[in-house]
Amino acid sequence: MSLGAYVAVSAALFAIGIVTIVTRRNILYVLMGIEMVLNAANINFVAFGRHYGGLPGGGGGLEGKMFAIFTIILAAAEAAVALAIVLNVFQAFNSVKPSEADQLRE
Amino acid sequence: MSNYLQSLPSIAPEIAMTVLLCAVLVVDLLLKGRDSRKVGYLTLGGLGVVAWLLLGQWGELGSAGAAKRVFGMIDIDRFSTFFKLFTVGSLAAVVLFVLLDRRERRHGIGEYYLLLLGAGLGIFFMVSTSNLLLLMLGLELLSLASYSLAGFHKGDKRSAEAAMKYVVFGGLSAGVMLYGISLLYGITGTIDLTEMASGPHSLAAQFSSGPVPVAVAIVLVLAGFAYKVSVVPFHFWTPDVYEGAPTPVTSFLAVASKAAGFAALLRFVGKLFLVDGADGAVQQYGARIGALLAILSALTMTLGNLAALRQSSMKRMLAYSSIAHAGYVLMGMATMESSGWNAAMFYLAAYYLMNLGAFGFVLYFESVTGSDDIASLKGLGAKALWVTVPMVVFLVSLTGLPPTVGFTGKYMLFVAGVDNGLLWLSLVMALNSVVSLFYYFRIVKALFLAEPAERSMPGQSALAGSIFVLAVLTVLFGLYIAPLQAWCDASVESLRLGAG
Amino acid sequence: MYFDYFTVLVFASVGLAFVFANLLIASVLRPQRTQDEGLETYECGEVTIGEAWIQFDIRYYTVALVYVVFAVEIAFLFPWAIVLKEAYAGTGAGAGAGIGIFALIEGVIFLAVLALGLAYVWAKGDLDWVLTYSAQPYQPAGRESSNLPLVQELEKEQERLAEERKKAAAAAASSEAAA
Repeated sequence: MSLGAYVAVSAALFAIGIVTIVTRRNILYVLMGIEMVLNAANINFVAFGRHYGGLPGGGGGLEGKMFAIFTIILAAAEAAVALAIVLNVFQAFNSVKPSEADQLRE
Repeated sequence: MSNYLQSLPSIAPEIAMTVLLCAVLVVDLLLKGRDSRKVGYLTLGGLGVVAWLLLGQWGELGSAGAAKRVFGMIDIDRFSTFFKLFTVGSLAAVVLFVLLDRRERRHGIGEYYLLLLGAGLGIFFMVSTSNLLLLMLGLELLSLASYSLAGFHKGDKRSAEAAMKYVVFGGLSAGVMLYGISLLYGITGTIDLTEMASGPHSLAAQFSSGPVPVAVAIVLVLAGFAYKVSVVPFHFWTPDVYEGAPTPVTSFLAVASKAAGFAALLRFVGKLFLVDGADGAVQQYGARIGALLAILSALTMTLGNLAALRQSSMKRMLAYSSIAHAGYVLMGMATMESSGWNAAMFYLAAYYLMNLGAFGFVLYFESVTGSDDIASLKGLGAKALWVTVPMVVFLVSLTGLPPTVGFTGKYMLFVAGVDNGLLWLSLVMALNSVVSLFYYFRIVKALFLAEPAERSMPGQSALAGSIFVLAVLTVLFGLYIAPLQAWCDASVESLRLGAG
Repeated sequence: MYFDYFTVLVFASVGLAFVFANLLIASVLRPQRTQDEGLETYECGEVTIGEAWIQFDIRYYTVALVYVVFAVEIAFLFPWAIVLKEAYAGTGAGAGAGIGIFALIEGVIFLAVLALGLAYVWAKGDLDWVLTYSAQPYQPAGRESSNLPLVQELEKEQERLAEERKKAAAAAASSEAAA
């Protein structure tokens, strides 16, 4: 499959992720959107890594693959922290909707 | 084997920081959270060791522009040491704030220090690398620790809400930035900024064949940085998070975290567009980035200052003021010349001093009145002169009036702007400084020009002392400019010449 | 090359055949009874209550959170193990870089830091199924917005404690005098 196909999938995933983040009212869906954006970047890294792996001077495409592994870890760590914070918010407000947490405003 | 071992002393500060972090964790567990003051003292001592190692490294680097790269990804130069030293300083100040604030002490708060050190370690790696992977990891380490710190007061609704907003905006911007980095990797085949500027698929070559992907990738990465330093279209989280987070954490976010974001941004733009011997096409492209930064700078300082005018909460007002100050620093960057960048560095140093002091003041009064409303300060000016007089100094410096470090910084920015054809931006900045005078003066007015209040002020003399020291430094560096200026010049020089 | 895929094919077909063969054998051997009880979720007699769509206990969540982080760290250990193996065997990309002992020590440090994290969770009691509530958050009356006490409140409490201590000392002294 050509490189363009991978990039197209990742661009679509990125767009879906951003739309999810912007439109959803429930914070859990927002976090899912963030995961989608991170994984869109991940698809790119793996696809480009494979592409440069076949080119001279591309370093075997190792940098892209390495970046992908680290991104997985980042996503997991971020999900763990974010979910813990959501739990805290639920205890304080009895809701996981950002619109119902309204203590801070102008 | 041997070359790995030889490289280890170069990252001694980072290693010391990691060991300190683990030690804090273990000691806190052994004390079972009962006496977290000991953990605080341990943290301060450890930070002292890290500062000593950093100063040694600064001396070793010798002449200006000297730089070396270890492990293929960590740049040891004066630029990174500059920011690391300031990070250690502000971490120490924040730890002191936590330690000296008698209210915070009440909880088992060993994790407070642990998270602060974790964030500091993230900054260390973030400011000293031109490898985008390590940059991203440092940034995320800083962000994850900051999210937890913002929500540190469990059960406090405002703290919980601040953490939630921070994590949502932070996650979004990290994702966008990562996507931009993946595109940059796709375009150039490398994640190293130096190679990106000069390698086989260098940005210049790619740019001439297709400018749109390059522009998209760079804008996405810049958006990630813009969030971290709260530049205008990405500033929405700042007031809410600064207001809701515990005050010592707010001072950390406003000072160390923001400056680290600027450090990474300076290195990113500098390595790509400002390096000596850059291609003609790259420099042209750099000029366009400069124009973008100039527009963002004007928007940021204007919106920040106008929004600050109508705030009643001090923390919220300082949040908007910190947005405005990000605009001032961006103005120095927008010149895309060494003189402007020197001024930006100097202004960042000034920003460290005066904002740490201002947040210390907020903490001092919040612990007595239980709120950070400007109205709650009414008539308290004469009750605690050791704190209120330094606050006047900080406000004068934040406005940019002599004889303070803030004035010197703004003057340098103004001159750099005029010299490099950004006269309009310099004028916008001067007008903004006048506007900022109004809202900074409201605090002075509440303190001194209202009827003296009946309330008594229980002393927190240790906290007052640290605020006083910061005020002395603010005036001192305003009058005695040369050492700080030489420091900034050497840092920018090392960035411009790059690692050999 | 083709041989490798052939191995996979054989492996997959043997695996599939194994599953279906076992199902077939079981269906021949097992007793054919069709009472209603036999169709319950738990055949042993436990009657199910309600549906599966319920709120789970928060404790599952804590364990899952710790598990996720640790499970993902394995992603680092796989490349590390391969490099280490190659470095010691002297083959592949890991050979000749002189990275062997350095990588080994680094990996051990990595695992040690992870173990420290696990020790932290353990010591904080988050691995216990029955949670202990040793640290109740401080909540001053009437001020919901912040859970921090004011300096004045702290001072008052310190005075009160000092007073109590004085009283206790006085009481002890008087009882001694009486004795």
